[in-house]
Amino acid sequence: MRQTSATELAKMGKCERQVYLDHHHGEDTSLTATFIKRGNHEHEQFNRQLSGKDKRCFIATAIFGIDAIETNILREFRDVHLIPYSPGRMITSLYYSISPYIVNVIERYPVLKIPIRAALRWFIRSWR
Amino acid sequence: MSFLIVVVILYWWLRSRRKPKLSPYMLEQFLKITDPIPLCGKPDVVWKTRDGTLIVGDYKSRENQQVYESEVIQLSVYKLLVERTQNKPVADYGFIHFKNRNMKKVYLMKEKEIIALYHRYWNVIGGEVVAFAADNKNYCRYCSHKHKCS
Ligand code: SF4
Repeated sequence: MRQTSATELAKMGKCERQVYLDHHHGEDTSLTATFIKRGNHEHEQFNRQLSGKDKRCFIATAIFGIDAIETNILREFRDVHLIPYSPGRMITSLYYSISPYIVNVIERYPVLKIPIRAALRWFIRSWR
Repeated sequence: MSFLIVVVILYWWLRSRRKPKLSPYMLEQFLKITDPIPLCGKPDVVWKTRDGTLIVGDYKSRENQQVYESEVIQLSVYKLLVERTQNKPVADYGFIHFKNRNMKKVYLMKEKEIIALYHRYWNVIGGEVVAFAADNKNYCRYCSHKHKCS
């Protein structure tokens, strides 16, 4: 019995004839290449959200970018000064619940990025 | 007023201590089994519930929430892979996650049905059975065999 992947077997739910033809004539993905590329990118984003890489610093991510130095400094601040303590965890939890709404507002009014960026930079400078 | 503040603080404190209903247990991990049939796959996510049950999840980069048969097959295979490799209870349903953060619960195929499908897959490839054409003609639009398929 031969090893079969979930993706290959799933093709049976679309078209058995395609399964046969793909196997004997090769699969040409040029027609679906754009969808595959977009899908891969979005899968990566989904994965990042779940692994906490961007979920945990919504506002900093929206302002500076997912892997920016500032975002990482703020994550470090959270991990070192907030998460180990109950009041800190409380603040973090409160922040997680309201920050997606703040991010929506920032995305709608990008001009808000200017004062928020300045405030976060000021915070980072004074903390370091 | 201060009573209200205390209540709000207490609420957030208790909330922060509570385990989430679903937490990611495994992300994009390649799994492989040989028993009952040789299968492999990489589920996008496996969730863990508060009671320790695992639930398989797959991400779809679209907003329309229709669930296709191929997706149920894929998720069912993931369920079998998780069941055979993790030694933990696995739910007989899974989640399809969509781009707009919505998710849909889908009931999965039984092990027997997956085994039968696996054998049919290889029979189709070997030309031992008549391969059915797609029900949904939308699939044909992006199929590279559409010119030679009658
Ligand atoms: S064109 Fe492709 S998807 Fe459509 S029936 Fe033929 S093989 Fe199947």
